[in-house]
Amino acid sequence: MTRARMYLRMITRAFVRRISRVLIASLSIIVGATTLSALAIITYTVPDQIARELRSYGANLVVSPSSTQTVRVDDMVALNARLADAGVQVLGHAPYRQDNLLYNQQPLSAMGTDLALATAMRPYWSIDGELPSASGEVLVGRDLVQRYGFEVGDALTVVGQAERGVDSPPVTLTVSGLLRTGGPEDAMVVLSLDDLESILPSDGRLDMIEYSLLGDETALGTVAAMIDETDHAVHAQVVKRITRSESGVLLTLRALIWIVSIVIGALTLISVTTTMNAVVSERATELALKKALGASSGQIVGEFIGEGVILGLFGGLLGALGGIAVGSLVTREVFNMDLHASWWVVPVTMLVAALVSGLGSFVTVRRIININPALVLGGE
Amino acid sequence: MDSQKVYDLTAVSRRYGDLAALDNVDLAIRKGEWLSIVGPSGSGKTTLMNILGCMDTPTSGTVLLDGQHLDRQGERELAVIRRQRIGLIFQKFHLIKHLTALENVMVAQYYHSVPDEAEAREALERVGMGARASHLPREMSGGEQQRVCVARALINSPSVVLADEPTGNLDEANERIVLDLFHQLHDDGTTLIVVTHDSTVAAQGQRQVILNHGRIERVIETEDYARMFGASAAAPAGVR
Repeated sequence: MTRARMYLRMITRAFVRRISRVLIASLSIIVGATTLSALAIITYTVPDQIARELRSYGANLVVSPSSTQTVRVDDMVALNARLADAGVQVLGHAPYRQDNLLYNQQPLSAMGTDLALATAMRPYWSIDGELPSASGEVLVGRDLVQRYGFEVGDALTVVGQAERGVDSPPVTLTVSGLLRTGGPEDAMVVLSLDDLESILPSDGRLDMIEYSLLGDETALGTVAAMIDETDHAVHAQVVKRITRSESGVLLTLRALIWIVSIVIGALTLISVTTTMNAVVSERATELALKKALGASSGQIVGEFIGEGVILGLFGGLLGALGGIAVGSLVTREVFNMDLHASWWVVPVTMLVAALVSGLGSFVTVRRIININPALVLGGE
Repeated sequence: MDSQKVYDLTAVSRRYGDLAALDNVDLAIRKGEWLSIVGPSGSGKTTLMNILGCMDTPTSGTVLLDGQHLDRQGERELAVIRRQRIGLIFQKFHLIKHLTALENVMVAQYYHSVPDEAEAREALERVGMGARASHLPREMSGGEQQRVCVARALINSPSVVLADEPTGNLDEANERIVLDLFHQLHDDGTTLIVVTHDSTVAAQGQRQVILNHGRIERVIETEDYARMFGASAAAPAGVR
């Protein structure tokens, strides 16, 4: 038998045949590993999911025509394809066109959009009634409702203010819903791009395309620069108010989780060191015997650290499984999210636990070196 | 140095503060001898045992093992000497609880050189413990555990076997078995040093060194000793 095999045999026997003691010794590792792996899962899953949730606060990138250029719906389709090719994660987008109409000879701001895309981009819109589903249906903003007393089902006849003072033919629209946004849309009528085009033909002109992209401020800046470089007809701008507040929230969350993880890691290390010191006391006779048989302190320390590493791998395995269970429970019950597959946590937690346990064992080196076989074996 | 001598102690003292556990001890132990070290509690026999077993060093005086100075060695060197030349047997057996009888013997091989399972089994067979090779210490009686200790002490063919109260925890039947083993070892030429307070066990030796207050009070030599090594020059065979 080789010395390496005998070494493995000794440390595995110490583990397997002392399993009840091992379980007690590994308790601190299991608790630490469970907490750390649960935090790792939450750190990995929750901010990502929260970033997606924060996207409901609105667009974080706005594309508009360059000063002398015109952007049309076809350009938006091409831009979407370029973003997809570049691997940009587009969570949503919506085209917008704004124009002035006349209602009872009074100016009326109108916003044409793809209503399905726009409401997906702006989930904070509150609609009393229905989203327009047929041609000629509109949403009316809260300010207009207060001014004109519109109700769902009312008809309003508008004309477009065409060039050179010539109005377009009157068009009658039906109010399908009353819109409350807390934003400028409250003073507008919102209708489909096709309906606005039918009142004021513009050959598919757009004033703005809003994008909701996944990424921090730096990533979004890169995407904006890419759009500017590849298409001189448009200008892309990051909505910094949104991206910075999102980054702030996520940074704070991540920092909090890291701080908690470091504190727990330190407490686990202290706990493991204390446990290992207790193990040295409990096994002082065995260690003294090995010295009496001629083992050097280095050999005994090597065996002890080996046992510590196995203890760490064992505690890490149980802790990682516990961590997945706890992480899953927390993400589901607290954050109302589903846990993504996180099996990578198992080997990572086992390695970290083995490292912490090995380190905790190493701290006991001085005590092992100081064991005097004559005193210990003599029962003193 | 006389080539017959395994140990040669000259003016050895071991002090703990003002207390002299050993006081100016001179002692030569010959190769193949069975020496009993006897004395009441506090007489210094365990201290002497620890010095002979390289687990302690004297405060003053010289200790030679096979001509090598033990009193000048560091802890690391003493560990090497222990693993290469000394076999230890303890009153409380001190087997590693989570290892089988076979593995306990192999541990001594591991620290000495390379573990050899077949050789370890042979050592257990030699002490009549072959059938218990795969048993843990808790599954063995005190006598059986002590026999495993004997196998462990012998596995590396040491120059000398030191036994500290080897029958102290055994009943009469097991004491007899262990003493029979010691007789076999002695007959095979092993140098045997046994610390005991039991006069029956002490009487098995060829020579008894009686300690009191850290000094050698008396040395009793048997005729067997005189026949093997010659009577001491300082005294007639029997009592010095």
